[in-house]
Amino acid sequence: MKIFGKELFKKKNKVVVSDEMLDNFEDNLVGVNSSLNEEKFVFTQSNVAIYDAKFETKPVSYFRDCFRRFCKNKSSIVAAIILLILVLYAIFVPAFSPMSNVPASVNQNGMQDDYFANCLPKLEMFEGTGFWDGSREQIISESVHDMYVKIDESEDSNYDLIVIDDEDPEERVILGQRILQYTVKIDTYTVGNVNTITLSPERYQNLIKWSIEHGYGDEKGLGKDGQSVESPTFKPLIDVDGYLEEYSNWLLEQGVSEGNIPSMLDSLRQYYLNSRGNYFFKVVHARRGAGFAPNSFVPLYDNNDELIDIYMRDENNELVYATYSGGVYSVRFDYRQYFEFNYGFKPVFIFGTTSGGRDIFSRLAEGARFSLFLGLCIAACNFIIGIIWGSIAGYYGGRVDLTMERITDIIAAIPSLVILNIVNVYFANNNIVGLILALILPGWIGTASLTRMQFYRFKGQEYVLASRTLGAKDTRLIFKHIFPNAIGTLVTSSVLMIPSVIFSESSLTYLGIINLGDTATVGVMLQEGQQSMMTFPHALIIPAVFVALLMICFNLFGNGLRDAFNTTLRGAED
Amino acid sequence: MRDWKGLGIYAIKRIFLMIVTFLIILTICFILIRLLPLNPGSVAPGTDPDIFYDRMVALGRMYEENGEYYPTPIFEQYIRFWSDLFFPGIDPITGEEMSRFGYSWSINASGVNPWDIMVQRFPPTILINVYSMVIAVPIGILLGIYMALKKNKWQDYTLSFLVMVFISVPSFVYALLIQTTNYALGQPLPSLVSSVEAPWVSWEMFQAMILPVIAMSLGSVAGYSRYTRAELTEVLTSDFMLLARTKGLTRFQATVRHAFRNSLVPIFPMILGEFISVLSGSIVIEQVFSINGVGNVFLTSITQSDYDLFLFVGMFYTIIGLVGGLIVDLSYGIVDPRIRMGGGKQ
Repeated sequence: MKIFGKELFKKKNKVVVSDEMLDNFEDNLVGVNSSLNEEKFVFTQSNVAIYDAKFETKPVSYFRDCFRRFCKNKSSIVAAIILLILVLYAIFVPAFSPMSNVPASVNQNGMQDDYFANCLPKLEMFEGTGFWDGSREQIISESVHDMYVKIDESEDSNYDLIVIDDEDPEERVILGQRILQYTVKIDTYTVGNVNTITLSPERYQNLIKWSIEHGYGDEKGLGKDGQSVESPTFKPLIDVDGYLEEYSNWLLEQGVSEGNIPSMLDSLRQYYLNSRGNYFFKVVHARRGAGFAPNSFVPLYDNNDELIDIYMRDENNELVYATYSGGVYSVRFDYRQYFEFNYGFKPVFIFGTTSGGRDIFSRLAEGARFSLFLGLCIAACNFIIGIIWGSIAGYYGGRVDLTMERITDIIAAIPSLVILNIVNVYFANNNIVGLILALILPGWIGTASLTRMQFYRFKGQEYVLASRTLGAKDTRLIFKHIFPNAIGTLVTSSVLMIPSVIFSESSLTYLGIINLGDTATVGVMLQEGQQSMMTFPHALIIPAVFVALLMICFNLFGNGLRDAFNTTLRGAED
Repeated sequence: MRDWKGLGIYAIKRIFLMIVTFLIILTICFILIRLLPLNPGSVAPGTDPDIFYDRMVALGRMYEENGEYYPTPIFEQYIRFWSDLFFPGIDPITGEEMSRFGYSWSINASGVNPWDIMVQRFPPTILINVYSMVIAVPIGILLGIYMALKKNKWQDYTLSFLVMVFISVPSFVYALLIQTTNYALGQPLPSLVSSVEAPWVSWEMFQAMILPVIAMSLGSVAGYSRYTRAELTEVLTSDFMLLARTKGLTRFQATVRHAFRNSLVPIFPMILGEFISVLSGSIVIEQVFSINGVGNVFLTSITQSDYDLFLFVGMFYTIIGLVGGLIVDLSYGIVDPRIRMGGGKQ
């Protein structure tokens, strides 16, 4: 009572009635009483036939109304737009991107290149900024840093390794030694040159033609006027064996015992091999105490502090660019330019590449296309089966319903993985059929029970009864009267089924339960990314974020649709 | 006054139905699995064919004819399966009682009892599930209450968005993202549980389990809070809450004593259902964090096509699902006296 008492007092205090108002009020009352004249009252529309007049407002159809209410839900609209972009990405990128349309004559596996494995995301417009330009932060020692700087300065490398140099190296003391540590950004796209790649004469001529066309010089790295061009494709061959011979003599001079020399030469040869023909200069074992460290190398500098090249030279002391033997040419060239020649597009990967050297941007689109297509197909199949099953059970009811319900109960109680695996084993030769069957078998039950519920809801309604009394047959009642009322809910539920199919597909391929071979799917990409997540997390994060975005948008969009189709919510939010 | 008699009859009915359902599922799966070809080549590398065939003959799966082994008819196998389940025969190799559930050939080349494998794998699965439940249930419910009380304010919108994100995104995606973050931070916590050698209940093991527990509980926190929010907002607007306020209860009293209790009615069975599923592991989380749990056995049995183990674990998951569903349904009647289980139209 107290509460009410207080509130009443409050209201009373607020009402202020002036004398003027009261006077006006009384005047009006008098006026009403005095002017009450019967003749002034006329029946409105007394001579107009209004029983078949048209509505002046436009009728709103059910779907228009749903669309209108859907548009009021802002988050669903945003989700729908993002979803549209993702779907367009999945449709158009695999269709038009040169990276997913590499002809089999170039590479049977499509765009795949071991040299460009684990490249970081790169956009050409950000080149050299250190952000989204394919560079990777690395901490390197002073000797490595100096070597990289020298390589970048030399004519042997067309592209810089160090994108952003460390102006202010950190000084550290490790084991009593002062060491400078440089934190630099290394371009992951600078794969450098490859040594002694064999090319058929035809291909060799093509490469020369391509190189001249693009201003990268001829087979000797020279332009039209005989001058050397800025970034020549062809590089002089390097003579590792010749250098190793020289090096073994040098080691002997240094007093290394003869027994140790072969293993030291082997490790140095391996070091040159691992560099894939990038080290065109002399490298020696690093000194450790009085001897040499077995697996640590430093470049050798001359008196001018320059690298000493080990290029192959002929009798006239001219640089050798190609050797011809056995019907093939052995050449050394810049690999990034060769890539462009080979594939016809520049190696610029918007989302980087996987550890297997595949482009993530196009591969993800292919995976998304597969997932979306699969989701759509399975949702459609489940929709059709579920509707037929559910409408029979719901419409006829009784014993039919009871039997059908028990069957769905049993199917629903089997863990989907058990069904999936049994089907999968039976279709071991054709995993996609197995996957589709395995997703459909337990998948339609949801739609079926929803349809059944809708039929139970509508079949007892008066308008159905009226139609039945007029002699309508079962088919007419089902398709003309009950089904159209239920369609909104059912469509929404099947839209929401697509993300769940994508979820199942990606987790099954991720776990390796379903092996779709070389087909790109998001699950396979996640699995590939997980293997290199310690060093190159981008290969995992990008597909993961993509799946997350896809699922969030689908769910938001589906929920918006559900609310829009739910007529009982009409006017609730306004 | 609860209708205990009605509840009892309903429970018995449901248990009977559950057993029938389970038997049908078992029969279907049994037939489909036993129809698959079984030979030592497809079972495990290094399996001793003699042991394998001896056991197969002893189990009544195969019979020998002129030195060749052929599978016995499915129906015969099915009868032997049931008789072995209750009256196991004598193992021709060890001379002891034979395994009731067949043998797993993928884990050990000389065959292991699936039950022994499962028992070993229970501790990590149960521990991780219990940890994540202990974390997820209170946090989820508290968040839900907070969201319901702050309905249609910015706190509610932010939390609702997060809840939506964690419900839609597959758990393995954020499990992988959690792991990547852990690597990027220089592994402050061990990333793989199987790499830790410590007793199950110990500080080291707990540390190793933190990441999988977080990955597991994020989804269920989101689920609980969404459910609690929905229930509580509905209860908060109902008439008896207005009555409680008018009779002089403060907002806190009315919310805790009246609204919260009523909103727990549908949430409590959810928690109960999850208690049952503590026994079954999440396959994906166990794979990501390399936990040798029940889900891992299931995955192993699938990827290595270890049929006996697969049937055993698959049926185990089926039982968990069936019992969980039954208990959830029954608990509605126990928790809320207004609900009369199995009641007719009267």
